[in-house]
Formats: sequence, C-alpha cells, structure tokens
Amino acid sequence: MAQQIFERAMKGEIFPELRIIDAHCHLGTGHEFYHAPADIDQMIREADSMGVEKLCIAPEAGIECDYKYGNELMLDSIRRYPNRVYGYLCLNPFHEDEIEEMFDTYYPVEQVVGVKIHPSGHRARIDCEGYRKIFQQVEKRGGFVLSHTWGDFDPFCNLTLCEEVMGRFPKVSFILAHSGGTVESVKKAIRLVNAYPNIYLDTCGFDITEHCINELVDQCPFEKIIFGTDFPYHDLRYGMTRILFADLDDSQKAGLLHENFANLLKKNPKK
Amino acid sequence: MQFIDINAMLGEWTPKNLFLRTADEMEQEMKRVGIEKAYVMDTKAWLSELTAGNNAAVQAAKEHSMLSPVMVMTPLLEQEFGGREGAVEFICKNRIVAVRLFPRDHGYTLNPWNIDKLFTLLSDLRMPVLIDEMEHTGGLESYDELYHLCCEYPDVPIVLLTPGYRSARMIYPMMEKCKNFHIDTSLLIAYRAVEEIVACFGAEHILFGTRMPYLEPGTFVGRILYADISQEDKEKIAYGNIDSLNRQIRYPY
Repeated sequence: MAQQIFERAMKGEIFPELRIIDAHCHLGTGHEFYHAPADIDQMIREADSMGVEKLCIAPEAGIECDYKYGNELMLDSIRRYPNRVYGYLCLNPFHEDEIEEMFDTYYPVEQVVGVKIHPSGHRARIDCEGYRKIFQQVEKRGGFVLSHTWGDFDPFCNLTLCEEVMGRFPKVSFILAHSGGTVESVKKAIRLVNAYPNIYLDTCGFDITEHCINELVDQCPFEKIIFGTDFPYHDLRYGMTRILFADLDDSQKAGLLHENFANLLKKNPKK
Repeated sequence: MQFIDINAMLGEWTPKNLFLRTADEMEQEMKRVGIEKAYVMDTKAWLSELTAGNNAAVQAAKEHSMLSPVMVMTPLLEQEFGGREGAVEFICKNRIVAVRLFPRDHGYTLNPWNIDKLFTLLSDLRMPVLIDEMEHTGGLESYDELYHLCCEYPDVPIVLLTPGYRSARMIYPMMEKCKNFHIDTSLLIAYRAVEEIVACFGAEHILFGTRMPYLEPGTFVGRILYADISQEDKEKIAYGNIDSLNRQIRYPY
C-alpha cells in the first residue's frame, strides 16, 4: 500500500499537488461556543499553511438568524478570492417568499455551487414546505444541497426524516453533513449512501463517535465520501489529519481530498 | 518527536464498533503513528467490574511494554480498595501512573464532602487524576465542582479528558485560575484552540491524549505536528508535560 502521504505527513509536510478541496466550511463566528475569529483572509492563510486549494463556505451567519447577511459575506469572500472560494447559498425555509429571489441573486455567480441548509440552526424540519421549495429550485437550477444532519433525537434533520425527503427528490444530490453525527446515525448514513444514488456523506463532525474513516471507505461507495472539515468550527488541521493519518493508501487519500468533490461538482452543474 | 498518550482504553465496549480491540493491536497502531507510550485503563473498570478492570489494566501493562496502567477509583476507599493502605499498595506495587474517575457513571459527585478522603490520598501521592467530559450518562455535572476541586487540592494535577470543541468559555478561565488544571488533546479541535491555549495560558496545560480506540489516534498526532506553535511547545504537549507529571508522583515505596 503506497504510504508516501502518511510518511510525509509525519514530517509535517503539506500537499498542494493534491489540490485539496474542503467541501464543508463556514466563516466568522457563531453564538453557541467560542472559537478563534476567522475572517476570509485568516481562513485563506490557514488554507495556504495546509496546502488546501479551495474552501467551500457557508458563513455561520447564514445558518443562524440573519441568513441574508451570511450570503453577503459569502459573496464578498468570493469576490476577494475568486479562485480559492466556492460558496453555498444559505436559505431560511421560513422566508418562503424570498427563496426565488435569493436564487436569482446568487446562483448566477459562478463560484456558488449549491445550497447549504441547517434545519437545526433554523429550527425547521427538513420536510417542511420551505425546504421543499428550495429543493424544487435546486432541481430546476442545478447544483446540490449540503444539509446538516444529526441523530434520532434531533427533530429537524435526523436521518429518518432526511431519507423521506431526499428520496422524494432523486434528481437532487444531497450531502449528509456530519454523516448523521451520532453512533447510530452514522450507521444509517452508511446505509443511505448505499441505497440512494443521490445521497453522499461528508467526513466532519462525527468525530465524537467510534466510527473511523476506514470504516466509511470499507462500507460506502468510495466516490460518495466527501472531504469536509467544518472549518472554522473545527480546526482545518484536525480535519485534514483525519485523512492524512488514516490507514489508507495514497490513491484513496487523494480521492477523498480532491477527486470525490470535484466529480460531484461535474455531475451537478448549475443550469 | 515522541508522543505519550494519557488517554487510552482497552477492553470491550457496549456499542462495539472500535477499530482495535486488543493490546497487541493497540501497540501496532501506536507504532504506526509514532506514539511511544499509552496510559491505559480497562473498560471493565468503567462499565462493569472495578477490581477486574483495574487488574486487567495492570496485566496488560505487564505484558506490553508500551502500555502503563491507569487505575479507576471511587470515593469508597475502605469498601472498594482495602482502605488507604490497600489503595497505596496497589498503586505502588503496579506503578499506577494515573487515576481515572467517572463520577456520573459511578454515582458520586466531585464535591469535597464526597471525595475528600480519596483526594487527600491522591494529593499525598501527587497522582494525576483524569476526569472524563464524555461519560455515558453525560458530560460534567458542573464545572463549578471541577474548579473547587482544583482550588482545594492544588497538588493534584487534574486532567479533563476530551473537553470537546465547545468548552472554551469554561476551560479558558479555569486554566487562567488553576495551575493544576490540564486538558488532553482528544477532541481539542476548535479552531486554533491549541495555539490560543499555548499563547494565553501556557503549553503546560495541554497533555497529549487520543481516547483511542474510541477516536483515531493519528489524527491528534497530526494536530500537534501541524500546530502553529514552537517546537519546544510541541514537545511539551507531545510528551514533556506528561513525563513531568509522572516524575512528580510520590510512590511511598
């Protein structure tokens, strides 16, 4: 098994040649807990320090109370770093009358690749009418949806609810952010990515469980595993070392860090 | 750079899904990712039978040179450890390197009225005490208790294991006020948490720990290797701090 990436990582080297894309990032700070401040300049510096080529961002504001402010931050970041940042359009399902206008405003921007929804953050069930309208827009306009998910006790985006909804939109690709999050939900997430062509999962935020990356690689279609770190909620370095130090071979690490998301983008272009 | 892991577990686990199950497998993974030594407890001492679990940890350490035994204790010195003398004998005979506590799962509190006999002993021994923020029944009942413990027993190094990424508003002031309060690196994953703690409170507060095999150890090795701190501080976190605490233990014989 080729292990050059691991050996180099043990020396603290970085891997710009892998063209790493972090598909799950935020920007700024939220209210629930403290982490070091991270504006887009700081985030790009961190990305440079770890050899990450692109960050896909949904500002924390976008998944909290002022989603429009979040989208403004996202657009500003794209303008400042057009070759380094992809953006997610953040939408609040309770503002149904604004959904189409938000798509009209932001979707024409080349670097806006899809939609981020956070049912828990917005306290809206993923099967509500507002989200249904959002998914219809993605179906019409292309792109994909990155959705926060969590365990059975989460009334807004547990995987039972997610399965019902995502099954009704087979032409829309969904990334299960955090892969369900809890011990049992990660097992469900693995089942869902095997059962549904349009469902993917990402690699961040279920760290609190005993499921390791190798388990995902062994049990999921490889191309369905999308690399994300939840930066700056979580440190970018931590998210990366989870892959760099995993007991996988180099081609698998390269696939996780770049190819899988790059292929997802190709399969889900905007129209 | 060598690493000493203060937070490792052997034994069975209720949800089962651990990626390594035996001491041999643990040593293999440790060699793979560059961890030289691990402080291990046996999960029986936590989730089943205290004495059997502590004996199992000692036995595993006797048979595996990369492992050092951690003893799980409770406030009942007389009933569960043969009194103070019995506890000291077990600690000295087996060269226990740390004591681990599970107050929620084992049904007691960290209030001084409850744990004073235990902590008087641990203070005499200068024994590091490991307290989980991730017990089965929930997180710490109260950081207030932890704070009072740190103040009441300044000679006991108290290590909060797996503090998580949401705890900065509690643990930062704790580190500022309590020199004997430490955390490990398992799930210390908030953005620049390592760097900020080092800059604001000193690298001495962070001990390398992975919570393997519940979590993937290589991840935390990497977090320190890539940390934006000096080489000296990396080495303190990786092994120097744990080594220093270990040297301070006062085994009576």
